[in-house]
Amino acid sequence: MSRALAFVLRPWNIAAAIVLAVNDHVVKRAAPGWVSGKLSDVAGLFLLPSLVVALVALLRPRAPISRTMRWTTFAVGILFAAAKTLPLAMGLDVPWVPDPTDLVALAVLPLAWLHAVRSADVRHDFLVRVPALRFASVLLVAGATIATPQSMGIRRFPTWEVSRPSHAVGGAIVQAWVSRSTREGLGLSIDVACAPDAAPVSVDAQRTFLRLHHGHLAPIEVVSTKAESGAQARGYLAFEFDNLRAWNDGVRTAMLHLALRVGSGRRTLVLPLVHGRPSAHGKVPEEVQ
Amino acid sequence: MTRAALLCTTLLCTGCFGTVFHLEHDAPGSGTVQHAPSLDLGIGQRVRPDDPGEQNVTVAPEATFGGGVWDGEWSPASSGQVAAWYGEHDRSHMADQFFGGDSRIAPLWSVGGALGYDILPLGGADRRTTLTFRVTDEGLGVESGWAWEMTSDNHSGFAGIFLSSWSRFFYLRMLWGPERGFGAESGIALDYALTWVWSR
Repeated sequence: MSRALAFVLRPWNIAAAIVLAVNDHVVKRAAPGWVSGKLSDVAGLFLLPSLVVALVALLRPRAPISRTMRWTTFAVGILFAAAKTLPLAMGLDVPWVPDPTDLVALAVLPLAWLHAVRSADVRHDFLVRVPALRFASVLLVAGATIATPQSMGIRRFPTWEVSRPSHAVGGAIVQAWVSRSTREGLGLSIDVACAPDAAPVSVDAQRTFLRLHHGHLAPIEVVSTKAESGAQARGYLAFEFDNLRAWNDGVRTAMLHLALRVGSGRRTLVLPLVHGRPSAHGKVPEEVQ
Repeated sequence: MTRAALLCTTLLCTGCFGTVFHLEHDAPGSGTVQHAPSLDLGIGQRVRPDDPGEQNVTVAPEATFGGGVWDGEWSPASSGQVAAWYGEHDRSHMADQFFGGDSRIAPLWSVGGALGYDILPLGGADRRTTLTFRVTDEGLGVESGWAWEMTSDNHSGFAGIFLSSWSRFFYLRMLWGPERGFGAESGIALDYALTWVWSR
């Protein structure tokens, strides 16, 4: 135990722990940027091999420090490089931020190795001998390795989507998309842009319906859609149903029959809807709060 | 032992302390659809549903390396355990904000148990195998269990309250029991949690 502690509780390691703690919990919040982002990687890579070797020393007291440190430093470098690059290359969702520019921090690993090997015989017993100081140092080093908490990404909830949202109807462009999709159903936004010489276009909510597996569903017309010639209008239809049950029952498709009045005539757009989500994590720029 | 150390090293370096399996049950978000979104909403954009939170079942083999104070005496302590619990998070895929921490693996509310073994008992006591039942709410919990002191072959029960916090692989636990008195321990917990998570 004392050998492992003595290996971790060295002045340069303590300094790296302080840098790591202050940068992660103060500087990153006060002045986030490139320098604060890389500083934690540098301090962490300096400290981590020593921590790992101390762990090895704890588990295997007779392990040769120099050789263990060499392999540990090498492994830390490889794993750090992999963690910062492979998720991007393989398109994986991971709970940390992969950033190949962080590889610049690898330059500190030779210093970490030199520091560990050259000071292997130098004992800084004052940190190990005094129980209170020893305990405080262990807490500092352990606490410093707690990086700034990050979320695991925004959760992507399943949503209904219109497969073909844009349609030319006479001289107008009709765009319909699902703007709300929750356990209580879905909300459909309809945007109609009429050319100056086109006939007026409006949505006939009475004749519009959603065909789900269990039957036809009439909408609630929350905002009516009526675009005059040369104008644009935005409407909204709400379809209320037990979407949670639909999801759990495996309902993944539906058909929207969107009835339109075009001048004095009628037109119905039949729009396929799909229910799904690409992945459990990920950025969703098309969503707004 | 070397292999175990290398495994710990690998996990430590990659920050890979668990695998989360996302179950599809109850996955849609919550919220009303009766209100039209703002006209500022761009074509093709949608309003993000409300987060119903999530629940999880976790199985976590864990080893702790640290020390603590028991009856005023400091000593190193180390233990291994396999814990399993059911818990709930108010927010999906996010750390519960607690003691500045990332406690997504250990949720704020949970009920579960652990089968543990004292590798290096706190206070130099006999090594024990323990079976513990715990209920935790926002880090404060009650526990009760059974302990088998292996050298003396004594069996005993124990009960107490504790306050615990995790942040990444750092843990802090303060315990009190009518027979054990007050103790506190802290250190590094290496675990690999298998978590099955689904919406509330």
